[in-house]
Amino acid sequence: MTAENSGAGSSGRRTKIAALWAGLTRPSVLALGIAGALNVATLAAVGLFVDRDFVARHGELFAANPVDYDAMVTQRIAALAEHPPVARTVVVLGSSITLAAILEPELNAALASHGLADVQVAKLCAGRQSPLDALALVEQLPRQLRGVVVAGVTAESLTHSAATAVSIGGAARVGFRSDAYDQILFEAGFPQPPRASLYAIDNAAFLSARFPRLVVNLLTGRRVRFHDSNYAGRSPSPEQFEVQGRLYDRMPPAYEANAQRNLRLVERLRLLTRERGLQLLLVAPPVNPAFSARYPAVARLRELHATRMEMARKGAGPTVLTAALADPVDGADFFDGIHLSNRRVAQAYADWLAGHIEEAIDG
Amino acid sequence: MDEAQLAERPQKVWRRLGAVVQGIALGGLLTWAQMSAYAAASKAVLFRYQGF
Repeated sequence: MTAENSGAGSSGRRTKIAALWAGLTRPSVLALGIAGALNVATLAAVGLFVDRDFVARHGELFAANPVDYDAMVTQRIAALAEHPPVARTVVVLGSSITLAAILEPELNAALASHGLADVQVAKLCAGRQSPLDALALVEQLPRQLRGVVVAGVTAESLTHSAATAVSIGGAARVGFRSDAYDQILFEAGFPQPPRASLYAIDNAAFLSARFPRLVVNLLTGRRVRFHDSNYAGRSPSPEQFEVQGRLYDRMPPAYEANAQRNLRLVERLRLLTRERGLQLLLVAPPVNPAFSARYPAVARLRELHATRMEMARKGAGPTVLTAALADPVDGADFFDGIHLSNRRVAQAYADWLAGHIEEAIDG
Repeated sequence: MDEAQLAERPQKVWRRLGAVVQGIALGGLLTWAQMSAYAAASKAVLFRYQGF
């Protein structure tokens, strides 16, 4: 190659780079047209392809991490609605306290030992799940579903205020629309988002909030596998115990202000399950005695709850079943103040629960 | 086609390629911004697990 040729080649490369740079940086009809077309095509693709069936099959793509239980609940409820199981089903509802106490493998084993191996478990628990969320979830269940709804009712779950309910219903934590959420929003004076009968439009808030996560999961090829419980088998954390203890100061007043309203929602849950031909078991997961011994606010909350449950039992209120476990639980059985971590206790609790499920199914 | 036009052709291809890349980047940003704005407007925050 001559020096002249080499110089021409290098100048040609520089010209190409300059042309590429000009194309990259200067506004042009072509660039704007592609940007607009890509935008419209993406939105159209989401509208056309992301429906309830897509969420049922690929819901984990919207999840931030394995303990993103709102994404898990969204996927599982979509799967139940889209592909109703033929087998009898035990639907488990509740907050993280119930999520930690009712473990799926333990419950499956306990059901099998009670002759209910054919019963399928659908665990739909999520952190801070309120009675309103439970009601909204039961609304989504397919009408042909048969079985038992197990709902964890704790003192904590009855502290949710109407404002919390509105923020949850309006914040699209979950990807489904519900009459229960809409009604609460309406009562609180919020405009009801219109329903277009198109999944992507009706759940645009959920999908848009999780769109960045969807893109990241698609690009990295990451498929989140949800944890059954992120507390099971973990050693107690004194730090978390302390952190939670401080949070409980506000709980007794919140309970006094909101328990009545939440119990009315539990009553609506009872009526809805009856209307759907489902059995309802309201259960209280084991509580940590060390937590109430250490914090007066926790002890006060437990006392308020016990009094109200006793009133409910004597009156027409809902009856919540408390497990009579052979061995009493203590602080070492919990990860923190409220979340059960000892698998042996979870096993005993599952066994007790399976007995009640068997009675409910036979009854 | 004269010599000047022939010399201009590869440059045009590279300019177009640049415009296509720019369009894809802009389209992606536009969609991302739309989704974020909608999410903020509807208070749809990605819920972080916080216990009980």
